[in-house]
Amino acid sequence: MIKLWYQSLTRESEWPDYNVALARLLDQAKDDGTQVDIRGHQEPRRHWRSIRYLEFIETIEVLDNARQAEKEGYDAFLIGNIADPGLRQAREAVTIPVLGLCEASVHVACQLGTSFGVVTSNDSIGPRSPRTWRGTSWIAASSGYG
Amino acid sequence: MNLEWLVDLNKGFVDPSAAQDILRRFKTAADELVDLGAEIVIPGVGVVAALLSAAGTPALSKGALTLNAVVALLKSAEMIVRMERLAGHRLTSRRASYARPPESQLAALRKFYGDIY
Repeated sequence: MIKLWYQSLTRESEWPDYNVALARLLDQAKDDGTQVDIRGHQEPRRHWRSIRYLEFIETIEVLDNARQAEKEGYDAFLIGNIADPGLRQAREAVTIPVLGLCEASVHVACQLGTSFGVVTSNDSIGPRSPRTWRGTSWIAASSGYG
Repeated sequence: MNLEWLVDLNKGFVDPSAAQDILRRFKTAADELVDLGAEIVIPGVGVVAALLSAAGTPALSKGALTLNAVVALLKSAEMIVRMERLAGHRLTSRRASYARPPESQLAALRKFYGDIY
């Protein structure tokens, strides 16, 4: 039995259909015996394009939830956002493994090809892209949607 | 797309034409990355990764592949949990980058910062 906390950076009431699709995707992809609990933001956040100041504020809830996941006996805490908000702080703060959407997918990509690209929601992500993908020579480029 | 209001992506799960528009924009951006040398393309929005799974992932040019970031995150977590169980101990390094404060300092830290660690 593996029990995972999937921290969505959306508020379920504002993204109802996405949360249904996300749950279906995770259910299809998980191993038998894995339980994935999706938890969204409690505050009405993540409606806008990524802004550093707002992301910083939002990260407090991520860190609080990482600690809550540890208290509730989760085996790992997953941050489902490409900016990996709070990844390094949470990894320090709790004893359970903490993984981020960007870092995890980049590491997998590096095992499947010699270069990769990232399609972001807008052009502000690329220039401020996480060290996660700037730190590898395998990045080809990143691009916002057209 | 260059989204200012990200919640608009939710329409892709209920409106087929909105879904097709998002998928078309994803493919256009992804193919541009392929032309720049990308062999693998990551949808850098969790919502789009879920939509690709629900509506179908478009084939990219030159045979490049799309990596579903949500699946990569989930399977990586399962792997690390299993590796910890095989090892019989935690595997996150505490030597430097993720070192926690010494136990002897926690009481003082909590006095100033509240219920942390």
